[in-house]
Amino acid sequence: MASETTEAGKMANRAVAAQRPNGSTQGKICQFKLVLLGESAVGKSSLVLRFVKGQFHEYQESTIGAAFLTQTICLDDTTVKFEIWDTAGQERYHSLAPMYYRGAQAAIVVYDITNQDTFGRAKTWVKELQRQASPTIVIALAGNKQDLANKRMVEFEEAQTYADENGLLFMETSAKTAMNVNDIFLAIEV
Amino acid sequence: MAEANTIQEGFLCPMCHKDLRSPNNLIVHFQDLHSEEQDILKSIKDIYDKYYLEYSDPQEPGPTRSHTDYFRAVRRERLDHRTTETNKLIIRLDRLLRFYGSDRKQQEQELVTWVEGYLVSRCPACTLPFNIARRQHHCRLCGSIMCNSCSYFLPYEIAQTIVAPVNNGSDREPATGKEGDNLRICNHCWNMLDCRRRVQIEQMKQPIICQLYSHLQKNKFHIQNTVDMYEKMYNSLVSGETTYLLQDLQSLRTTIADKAQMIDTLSKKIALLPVDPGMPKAAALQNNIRKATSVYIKDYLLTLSAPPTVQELEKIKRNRSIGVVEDDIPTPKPSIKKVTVTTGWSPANVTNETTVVEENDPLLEQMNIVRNYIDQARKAQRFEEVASLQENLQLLKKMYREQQKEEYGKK
Repeated sequence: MASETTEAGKMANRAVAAQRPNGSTQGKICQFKLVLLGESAVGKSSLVLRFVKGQFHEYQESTIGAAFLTQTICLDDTTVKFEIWDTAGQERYHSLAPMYYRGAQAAIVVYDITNQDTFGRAKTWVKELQRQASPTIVIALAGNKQDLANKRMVEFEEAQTYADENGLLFMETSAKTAMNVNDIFLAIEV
Repeated sequence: MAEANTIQEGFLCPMCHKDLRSPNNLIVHFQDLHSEEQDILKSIKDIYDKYYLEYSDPQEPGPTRSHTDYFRAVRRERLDHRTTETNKLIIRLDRLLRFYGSDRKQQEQELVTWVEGYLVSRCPACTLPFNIARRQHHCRLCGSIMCNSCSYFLPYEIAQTIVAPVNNGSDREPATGKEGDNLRICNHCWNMLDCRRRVQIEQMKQPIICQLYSHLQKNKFHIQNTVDMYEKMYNSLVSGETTYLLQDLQSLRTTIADKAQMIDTLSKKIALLPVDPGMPKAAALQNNIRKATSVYIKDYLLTLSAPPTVQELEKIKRNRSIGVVEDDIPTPKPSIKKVTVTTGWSPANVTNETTVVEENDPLLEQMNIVRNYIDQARKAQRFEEVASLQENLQLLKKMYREQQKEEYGKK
């Protein structure tokens, strides 16, 4: 079954290539569903807002339910359209999360490097994803609030080791300074 | 009868010899005054009727004979003569331009024999006599004499271009060194040289499309350089360096925009040039130039990244200074792929106050949020987003139904 679908996919690609013999302008367009998970107040919404709008709000309101944002990025000749579901971190909305990660191709699990508990919560999210989400889902771990590194409670090496063991992409990010924000979104796509 | 020694001409009355100037007047006059002479009147009428019959019909052209060959032969002879004369003048001019120094006048007179002054008493051009006030002058090219007001003055620079039109005298040593100096020549020589110069200009003149196209290419080349510089400055700025100023980047972008406008206008001009119907490919060429230029502008110039705002730049700088302080954190590497990030879309935040109804069930709450998002996406004409959101709403509804069923089952 799986091999058949990939064959069909190749056929479709070939058809696209045949239409554009010179392949100069825009090649393919991909849709990419992505979900953000993590404890509340770790900066999920801030990360997305930085990625989508290039903005940062010092006092970001707490998300209700799940917010929806889109961003289009051109990588060489490929256009990637991100559809991002930014879930609420509060326990009350936990029941909504499966709906969003089940259909997603990628998940970014966010923790706050100044808060050890949020790292523990992130690990729980990773476990849940590994059990419940699609087996092909790409999981990235983001240690946010890197700009507050002087109040660091979670060591970079600790998180890196954990990420390596579980086959996760890992980056420390800062929505405030925009550090690694675009990079983590692009790393997932590539 | 008229006197033998005087001959009168015109429309004369045969009776009173009065000139009546036209046949009609003559006939009317004769009817009025000499009505008794009917047979003479008739003969007059006959003469003019016959005249009208013969000459009012268009005449057949008589035998023709082509004089073109004769004309050509005469013309060729004259052209040949003129060409040799002009060439002689140019050879002399070339030598004249090399003359300098104190013995210049002597050299000039060696080149062409000057007409002796006593042979010419009046200026050949204006016929006025020479005297102390109106002195004799010699044409440096043919040696003939004329007065000052009939002299023409050929500037050295123009003389240089006549002698060497292509390299414009650039590889010749500056012949006389005296800038703004003139050569005194006569009307005749002036005409010959001027004629030749006009022919040369006409020959060297390119068709208008070539002129416009070379202008276009020149601008494109300039844009290429500007864009390279822009990208260099942009990359430097966004990586937090202070080598370049943001204002400079912005003004460079304005320059590029202006140039783009200019090549756009030029290509439009080329496309709108009148086309000779005998040359169907010319129209295609003109349109292709226009198309190529639009594609160039669209693909190459409109995709240029916008300069960062002052706030963004400050953030980048701050970010960089943090990166410098903390050496253990690798600074973001520039990706190999060219990444173009556009501004994404997001609905306005649904705050606690704007949420339609505060629901106990998070699912219902989320359904309200998604409905609100759908409305916003539709208003923003983001229809792909609308589709995704609709899909999600269906999913939420399905989940809600299942949840209700479970609860019902429990009860």
